[in-house]
Amino acid sequence: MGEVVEIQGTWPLADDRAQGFAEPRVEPVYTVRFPAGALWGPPGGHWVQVELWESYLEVVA
Amino acid sequence: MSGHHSDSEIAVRVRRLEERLIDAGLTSDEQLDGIIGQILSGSPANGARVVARAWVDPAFRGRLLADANQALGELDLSMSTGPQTQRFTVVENTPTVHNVLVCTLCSCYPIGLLGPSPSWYKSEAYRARVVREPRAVLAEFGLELPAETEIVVHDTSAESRHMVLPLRPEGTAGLGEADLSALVTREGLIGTAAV
Amino acid sequence: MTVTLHAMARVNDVGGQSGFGLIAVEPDEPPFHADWEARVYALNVAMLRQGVYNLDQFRDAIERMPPAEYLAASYYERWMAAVESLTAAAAPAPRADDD
Repeated sequence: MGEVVEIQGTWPLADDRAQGFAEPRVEPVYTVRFPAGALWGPPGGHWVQVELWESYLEVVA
Repeated sequence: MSGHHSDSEIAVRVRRLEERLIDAGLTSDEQLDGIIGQILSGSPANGARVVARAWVDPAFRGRLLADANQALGELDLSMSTGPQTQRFTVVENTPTVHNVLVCTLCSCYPIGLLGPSPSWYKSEAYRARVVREPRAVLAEFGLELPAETEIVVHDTSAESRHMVLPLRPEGTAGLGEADLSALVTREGLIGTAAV
Repeated sequence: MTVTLHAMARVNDVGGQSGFGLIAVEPDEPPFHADWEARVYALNVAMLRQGVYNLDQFRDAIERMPPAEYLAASYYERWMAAVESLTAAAAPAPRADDD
């Protein structure tokens, strides 16, 4: 699980653009910070920060 | 180089592709030469200028961290010379936080500003390992960080490009912008080295 | 806000995978290792500017390469394969005897 640290505004969804859709879905892009341990298990100890479109994510809390 | 095809074999295939696209009216020799000239003029020296300005001018540093695309204009630089205009973000190292960049999916890199990326940045080994064991990877690059330094690995995506604002080295208080920018390396801007 | 990520993986999605060794760094590496690499780079930028395809289509063309082909190809060989496939419709190959 990660924390949203920034909202980057809205951008056309890469997956729709990849298929050449004339009107790709436009979604908010979030900068999300994951503790390494949550991605790869122990030992962790650093952060991985990624930009993700809204539909890649599920709100947990 | 993978060595799976000979270079001359590929050169012929690329030449054929190029002729096909020129014949179809989609590009021209002049345009291709222009694009190559443009990418070769991009160099880490551009990023170094940005860093040096941020080191000497706190107000510029603030604008750079808030809106890097806009701030680049003050130095007559822009993110528009690469394949497409991109959102540009500068992440700042501090005495307690070290940033390092990667593109795990492909090779996203601020080409328009820094020039072509080094092969190691595009390698599977770097992309796979730096998100998982950055401390070990940085040590291989010769950067041993104190255990208490927090490491943030930025995995660049298609929509934006990043650059690291390294810590200004000690003992450089007397240096001007030009001398400072000469200290900044490409690896410093990616985060695999300190400056 | 706390979020979790949907899984997705293709051959290019190497982040966090193990089994990779030391990272090879080439000292004083030139921007391109051969002229054809620079030409492929320029062809891709030209096609993007011309709107023949977009950057996401380009990335997708690389990412859906068959894994064996992807892993065997050098970086700019992947680019060449993508430009070839994405321009096949807009600029069909001439029917030549040796093709």
